[in-house]
Amino acid sequence: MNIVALFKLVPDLVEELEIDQSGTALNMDFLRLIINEFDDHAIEQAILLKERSEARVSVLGLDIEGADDVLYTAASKGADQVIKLTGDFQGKSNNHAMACAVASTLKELQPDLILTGVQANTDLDGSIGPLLAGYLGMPYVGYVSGVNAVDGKVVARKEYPGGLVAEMEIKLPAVLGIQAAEQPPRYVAVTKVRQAMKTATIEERSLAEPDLSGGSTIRRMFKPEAGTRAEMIEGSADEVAARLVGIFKEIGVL
Amino acid sequence: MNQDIYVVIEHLRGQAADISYLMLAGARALAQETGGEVVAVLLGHNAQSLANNMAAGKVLYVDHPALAEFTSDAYQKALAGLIAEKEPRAVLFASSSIGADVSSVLSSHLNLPLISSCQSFSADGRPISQICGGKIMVESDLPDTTTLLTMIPGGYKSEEGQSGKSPEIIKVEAPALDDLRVTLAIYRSGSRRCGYFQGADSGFGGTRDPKSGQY
Repeated sequence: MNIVALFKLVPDLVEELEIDQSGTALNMDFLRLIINEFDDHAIEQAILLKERSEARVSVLGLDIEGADDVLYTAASKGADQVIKLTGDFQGKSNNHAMACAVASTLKELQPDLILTGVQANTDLDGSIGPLLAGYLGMPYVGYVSGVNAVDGKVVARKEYPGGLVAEMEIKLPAVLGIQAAEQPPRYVAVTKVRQAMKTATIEERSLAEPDLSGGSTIRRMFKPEAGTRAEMIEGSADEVAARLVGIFKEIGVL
Repeated sequence: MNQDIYVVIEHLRGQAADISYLMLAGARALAQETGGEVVAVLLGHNAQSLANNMAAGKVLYVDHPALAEFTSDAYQKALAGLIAEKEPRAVLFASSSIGADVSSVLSSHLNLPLISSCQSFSADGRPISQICGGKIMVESDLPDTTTLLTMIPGGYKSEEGQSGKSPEIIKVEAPALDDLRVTLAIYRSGSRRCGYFQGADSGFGGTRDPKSGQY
C-alpha cells in the first residue's frame, strides 16, 4: 500500500498573534510556525500502518521555513520518501488553491491512502484533506482516531461527540482526516534526526502556481473583544456554594 | 441562484444535534439580509419527525435506507444533486465530524466557495469566522454565488432555531445510492484515557469490556 501523509505549518498559538497593516492577514514577520498538531498525528498513523504491513510512506509539505526539519524528522521515524513542494506560495493563499495544486502532484505519486490532519488552526476555507478528496474524486472520512488496512479497503475509527465511535469501511484509494493517531506521535532523539539529515534526501517537486480566485475575500481581521461577563465569586466555601446555587437557579438549570 | 438559506440538519442515532437549531437561528439572521427563506435539509430514513420543531420556512426531506446513519459518501451524493439543482444563496453545515466531512468535499467537487468556522453574521450579512483557536476573528464577504459555510456555536441560541409550529415538509427523491465507497460497519462507545485509545484488542485499540465485548 502506498501511503502519503501531508503536513502544514501553522502559527504557534502560544505566541502573541498580530494582524498586519492591511488588516486582512496575520503578520507573519516574527511568527513562529510549527507543524500542525493533527498533521503530526497523520504522519504517526502512516508510520504505524507501515509497521503493521508492507506499506510505503511518503511525507509531503510545502517549502516553508521549518519544513526541512519536519521532513527529516519524518524520515528518522521511518518515512520512505520525503518531498518538499516548491513554488510561489509565500503570500496570501487559501486551502482550495493549495489543495488543487497539491492534487496534481499526488496524482503522480498514485497513493492508495492519503492521510492529513483533520483540521488546522488557520483553516478559513475548509480543510486540506476533504478538499483534496473532492479534487481527486476520492472518498473522505475525517475525525479518525485509528486505521486498519484490510483487503483493498481500510477500516477507520471515526469519532463523534459524546464518546461515540463509528467504524467506517472505506474503499481505496481514499483520503482520511486524522484527529489522533493510535498512539501519540513518537519522540525522536535529535541525534537520530541529525543522522537522517545525512542519509535521507529531500526530493523537491515544483507546484503549479496556486489559483487564488476561488477563495472568499477577507474584509477584516480583528481580535475578539475581551468579555466583560466574567464574575469572580469570592468568599468562604459556603458563600461561594450559595452564590453558585443562586446562579444555577437564575439560568434555569436547577 | 435564489436567495434561500439552506441548513443541513445534523442528527445522529435518532437525535437532532443542538448545532442544527443554532444554524437555523443563524440562517434566519442571514435570510433577513438576503430576502430569502430558511430551508432545512434533512437526510435520513424514517426520520421525518425530527423536522417537527424546526424554525424553517420548509424542510426538504430526502429519505433513503443508505441515509439512515451518517456516511460521508451517501451524504455527499444526496446533497451534490440537491445543491446543484436548487442553487440556494448559502448552505450551512455544522463544523463537526459530520458537517466537516461533507462541506469541503462538496466545495471542491461542485467548485463552490466555502467559508469555515463561521460563528455569526454581521448586520449586513457578512460571515464572521474564528481562526487560530479563537484568537483571531475574520469578517469575509459573502461571494456572489452559492456559498457553503460551516458554523460553530457561540453566535446564536438553539431556542431561536426551534418552533412550536411544524414546517412544511417536502419530500425530495434520493439519487442512486447503491455504489457507496464508505459504509458504516458498527458503532462503539469509545473510551479514552489521556486522549488516546488504549489497548490493542481489535487491532484498533480501545478499552473493551471483557464481558460484553463492547468498547
